Order: sequence, then C-alpha cells, then structure tokens
Amino acid sequence: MIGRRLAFASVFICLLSPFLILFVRFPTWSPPPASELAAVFGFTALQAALSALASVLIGSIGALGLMAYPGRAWPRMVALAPNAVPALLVILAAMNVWPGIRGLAGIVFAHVLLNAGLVAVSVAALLATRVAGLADLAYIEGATRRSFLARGALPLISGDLARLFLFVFALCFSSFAVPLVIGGSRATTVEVLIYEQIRVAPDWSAALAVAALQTLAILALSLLAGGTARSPIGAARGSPLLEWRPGVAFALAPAAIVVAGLVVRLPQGLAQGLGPGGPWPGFGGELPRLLAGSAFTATLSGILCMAGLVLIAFARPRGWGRRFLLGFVAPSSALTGFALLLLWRDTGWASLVKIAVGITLISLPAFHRLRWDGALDALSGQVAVARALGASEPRIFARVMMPQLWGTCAFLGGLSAFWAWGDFALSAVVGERALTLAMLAHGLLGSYRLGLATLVVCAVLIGGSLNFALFWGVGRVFGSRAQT
Amino acid sequence: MAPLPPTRLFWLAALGASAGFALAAYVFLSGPGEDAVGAGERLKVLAYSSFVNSWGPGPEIAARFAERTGVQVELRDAEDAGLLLRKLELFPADVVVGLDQLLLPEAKSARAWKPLEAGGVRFADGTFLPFDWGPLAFIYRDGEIKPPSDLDDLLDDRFESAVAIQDPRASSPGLQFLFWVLDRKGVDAGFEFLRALKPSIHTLGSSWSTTYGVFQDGQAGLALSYLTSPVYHWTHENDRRYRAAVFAEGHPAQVEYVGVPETCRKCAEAELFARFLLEPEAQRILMTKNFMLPILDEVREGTEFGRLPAVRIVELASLEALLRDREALLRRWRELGL
Repeated sequence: MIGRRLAFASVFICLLSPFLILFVRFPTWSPPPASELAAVFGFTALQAALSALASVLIGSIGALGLMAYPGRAWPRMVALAPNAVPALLVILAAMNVWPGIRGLAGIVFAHVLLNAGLVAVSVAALLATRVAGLADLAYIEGATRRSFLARGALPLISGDLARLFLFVFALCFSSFAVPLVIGGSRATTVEVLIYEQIRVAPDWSAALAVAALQTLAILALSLLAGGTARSPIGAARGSPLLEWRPGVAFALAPAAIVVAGLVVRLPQGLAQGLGPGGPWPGFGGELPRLLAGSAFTATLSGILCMAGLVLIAFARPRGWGRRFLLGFVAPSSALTGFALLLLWRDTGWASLVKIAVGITLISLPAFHRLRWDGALDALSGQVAVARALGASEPRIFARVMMPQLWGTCAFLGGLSAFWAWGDFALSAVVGERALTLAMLAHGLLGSYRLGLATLVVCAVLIGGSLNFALFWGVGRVFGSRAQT
Repeated sequence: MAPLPPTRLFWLAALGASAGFALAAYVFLSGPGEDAVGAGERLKVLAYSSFVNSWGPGPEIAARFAERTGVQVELRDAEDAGLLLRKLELFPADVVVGLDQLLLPEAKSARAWKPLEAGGVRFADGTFLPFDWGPLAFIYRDGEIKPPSDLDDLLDDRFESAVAIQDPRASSPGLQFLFWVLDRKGVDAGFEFLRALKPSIHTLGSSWSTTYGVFQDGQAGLALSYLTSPVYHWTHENDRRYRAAVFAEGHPAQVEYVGVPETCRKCAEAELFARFLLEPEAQRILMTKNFMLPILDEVREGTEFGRLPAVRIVELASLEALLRDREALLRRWRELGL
C-alpha cells in the first residue's frame, strides 16, 4: 500500500513540477481582468468543443475503415502524420483545400485535419481490444452492422469516446497557431493570452495565473464528465461487423491532404537546398547530428512515457487521485520549457534529455486520459478477484495487470515518440541551438525556405513513423502474452 | 522470475539500443567544438534563431572573429527576438544580438548595459550598437497584382482577401505595422483604418514565417515583410518577380541592435565582438545571410541589395507613447475582429 502511495506521489509531484518550479521563482500570480478572461475562455472552449466533436465523429467512422486492415501498421502511421507536422504546413494544406478559410468553421476544419487521424487510430484500437469478441458473437447471431454499432459497440465504448472527446478538447483548448492564423484577431485562445503575457507584457504572474486557470478548467470539465465505462480488455482482433472499408477514407483523408501539400513542395525544397547559395553546405553536415538528436529525444520520451504509465498502473489511483490524473493538463509548452530551464541549465546533450522530459510531462496526462485510465479500469474486476484469492499487490501488478497492459503502454509510448519527432514549441524554448530535425524545419520556415522545410518535415515524418513502429512492435510482442 | 523469451528480449534491446545509439551518435557528431575551449573561456553570445542557425550569419561571423582575435564564441539560441530578454534571465550572456528598437526600452528598464558609443553611426542609441536594418514593406509578385502605392491604397477592392500581415500580439513586424498605422493616422483614426482593412486581409499570422509562408505558397498576393526580402528570391531562386511596393509616404524601419549586459564576464571581448559586427567584413556576411541592409551603406554597392528601390524612412514620432500604451492598444486591436 505504501509502495502504491509512493508511486502515485512521485507521479503527482512530477506532473505538478512545472507549476511548482515556476511558483518558487514567481510566487505572486495575478490573473488579467475577469471580463477579458471570460471572453478568452469562452471562445477557447467553444472552438475546442466543436473541434473535438467533429474530430471524434469523423475519426470514429475512420476507425471502421482502419479495422478493415487489421495488423497493418502503415494505415495507422499515415493517419497519425498530421500530428507531427508544423502547424503552418497543416494550415497551408487546409487553405489549399478550402481557399478563403476563416473564422470558427476554419478553425474547426484545421483542427479536424490535425486530430481526426489520431482519433481514428485510437478508436480502432478500442474496437479491436474491447468490442471485437462481442462483435463475432453478434455476427454469428445475425446482427447487422448498424444495429450492432448502435446497440452493442456504442454503449460499450461510450465512456472511452467521452475520454477521447476530452483528450481532443484539451489539445484544441491549448491550440495556438491555428486559431490565430485562421481565426483572426478576435480568436484569442488561452495559449495566445499566455504567450502575450510572456512576450509582450511581459508579465509572468499573469501568464502563470492563466495557465493555472487553464488546468483548473480542464480539471473541472473532466470532473463534470463523470465516471468511466468498464469493458473487457483482450487481444487486438478484427471482426466483420466492425470493418467498413470505405471508412478508411475518413481516417486517411486528413493525412492525405496534409501529405499532398508536402509532396507538391518537394521539388521546390530540393531546388532550395541544392541550388546556388542554398543552405545545404551549411547544414548538410549537421543533418546526422540532428537526426540522432531527434531519434534520441523521441525514443527517450517514449520510454519515459511508458515508465510513467507503468508507475500509474502500479499506483492504481482511486478517488481524487484518479480524478486529478483524468483532468490534469500540463502548462503550455513555453511555460514547461522555462520551468525546465530554471531547474536545470546544462546544455549539450542534456538539453535533449530536458526536451524528452518536457514532452513526457505534457503528453503523459493526455495519454492517461486517452487510453490508460480506461485500460486500468477494465482490469479492476480481475484485480479484485486476484486480491480476494490472496495474491499480493506486486504479484497482481506483475502477473495480472502488466501482461494485459503492455500493448496499450507501448502504443502510447510510440505516440509520445511520434509527437517528440515533430515538436519544436518546447524544444525551441529549451534548446540553446538547433538540436532536432523539427527545430531545423522551424528555422528554415523562418528564413524564406518553405520548400526545404517541407523536405525536412518529410524526414521527420519518416523518422517518427519508424520510431512509432518500434514501440508498436514492442507492444505487439509483449501484448501477445495476454493471448496465451 | 522467468527469463524473457528471445523475441521480447530482442524488442526491448532494440528499444534501448536505439536510444543509446542515437545518444552516442549525437555526442560523437557534436564533435569537440564545445569542449575544445573550456566553457569559462568562451564568449557567450545570445541571439535569435536565424542568426545562430548554420545557414545564418552567426557561425561565420564567430569564426572570423575567432581568427581575428583568438576569442572563441559560443552562440546560444533564444528562438526569436521577443524571447531574448526572457532567456537572458536564465542564461547569462556576454553579448545579446538582435534586440530591435521596440525592445530597447524594456531592455534598458530590465537590466543595466555597458554603454557602446557608435561614433555617428546611423540609428545609434548610445547604449546599443545597430548592426543591420530593414524598412518594412509589402512584397508582391510582379504581374500578379498591381502593387499598393500607400497605406490607404490597401483598402482598394483589388486587394480583397489578398494581404498577409502579422498579429502584433505575437510578432515584432506585426507590432511595427500597428505602430506605423497608429503613428501615421493617430490612434482612433488608425483603428478605424484597420477596421476598414478587414476585407483586404487574407491572413493574420502568428509570426513572420507563417505570413510569408502563406504568401510564398501563392495563397496571399501581398505580404508584410522587409524591403530586402525580394533579394532572397533573386539570388537563391533566380525569381525576379518578387518586388517591394514603394510607398510615397515612406516606410518605418526595423533596426537590430547588439548590447553588452553589465553582468558580462568577458566584457572587453564582448565589446570587441559588438564592434566587429560593424566592420565591413561582418556587415557583408550579415547582409547576405540575414537579408537585411547593412549599417555601412558602402557594403551594399555592387550587390543585389544596391538594386533595391530607394525609399524614404519615416521615424515614428509617437513611438514612446505607443510603447507605453502597448497593452491597451493590443486590447483594442483584439476587439477589431480582423
């Protein structure tokens, strides 16, 4: 029991550490005027709710398409692609498809491009592990796809879909570039307000107060969202009732739009890199270092994320602890980055470790909300039986829980690694120079070289996909134990 | 505890090895550069990303400076100019490169700086040395759109949903543009002008790179940038369609400064480095890699920069008041709903 409490305390302190560090440095937090906050939070919540709703709807249809390709990693990797691309390239892709895109509808459209693929991959994994067995039975009994999905699958995964909604809502709630570029000057989100307070004001006390309010708002929403569904967990598998091949268009179309936008710029990228006066001689020699920096940061971030999830699984928090983990969101990338800089100022490869730690601090609560809490909850019945039979806590953890959790744990670790490949918001604050390929792409965008930046982003996508595949492989091999 | 089966052992080893190998490769490829000279011996220069990047002017200037003086320079990236002062609080530096004139008042009130006398150099400040500059201008592609001739011309129907500008809340050129309009027209009339500009705006970007990216992609026909921006396209893409619209009323200029904080550890070398940026050798590197005008006019003679149109530079007379009221003005900007 003490071990579980210690495990939870360590997770709790780690997640809160950015706030704690910044509080020590800036003890006074004073929010901007209430009227300003109300307008900003109101708009932020509205665009986030609409974006999350549309993403979950489209992503869920896309999941049925992905189910038609069981055991294949490539459609899932393609679907995830927009999450590792700089926001500017997603915005350009959105503008290519929808010229003159502006306002709230434009923000929702761009957010759907960014998140629908991620939702599709997540729902597909949910269906494969939780619903497939029941779907086989229903198929044999002669149920139609529509009736099974409405009466069988939906009630079973409604709690998970709510969590997924909350996950995308939190992502869109902290969105920065999309609302600002597509929404216009009135589209001030909470992140924009924080950024303004750091850069323009500059007022750390206001920035921190807004960040704390942002965290409290998501926390309150997750408490209002209530309990979670319990459903069986098992090995991933497909089922005819859950497969709808045309649905794959919904999962892959957002990525296809983004990737097509990248591909058309590749010739321009090659010309910019290799042409007269191109920067290739300058950074060509740096590419292996930056590639290694990205690979290390992403893999470490995935491993740290998995370690954090295992610690949470060991702690199995209940009551307020569980509610805290379900509702907590990390402060913005800029604030997390500055907190890490305050704590630890070493440079060189230590900066890569800081970036990995920062990405883990940001992604861990999001991934817990996305899949991990549901996975833990699904095991609560087995844990209760094992305990009643006299099994010790470490034995329950090692023999009952982890064998069934490895697959989900590695999947989320892979997602964290994929995000890390594309991160430049936190990396740019923490790094003392370009340390990763994503930072290089960001730098190229800032110096006229849009085409060359696109080329580097393609390398980021390939690297991120390979890293995700590595974690995916770990998850499949370890997760297979549940079948035996 | 039962031993792990070989397949699982392989995948775990692959995961660990990929992290370990990547780290080893990173450390090996980073080379001995940072450690060749002890950390305490190097001159620490804090600058924005496009100065520090390998294709930016920083590395070459640092190398030339080391050749000349024997002083090794460590360049540190503060991301963008807006974060220079925030990063300086965390990473003490001997030299700060890239503060623009809108940041100077905040820089002076936030900390003490060594005075750097410029000796009659243009844009001299007394505390900071100017090292390059660029007039703000709207860039267009010749043959695509008839360029505007002044600010009011931007309201013309031909620019409907064609203009990409930066949001002043997040971008330094965006703030310059807001102050330009408010200084030129007065605060109330300026905001009325901006309200009327709404139909012309295609993109309000979070950064220069966002708006210029949208323009480069062909989505917008006109982008707020620098008079010097076409030179990139002329020299690197051999595309001479890119032009800067010349406004008869004049253009405000963004001037970049270098400063030496009072807390410097290698103050004499820091001052040497700051002054080195004003030497023709460094000015030439700054001009060709930063795509900004040199402070020394003679450096651009005989180059593509010499073929840029001559523009009248306007001083923002009410800059001090605008900077003082910045927060309130940005609140009004937000309410415009552009």
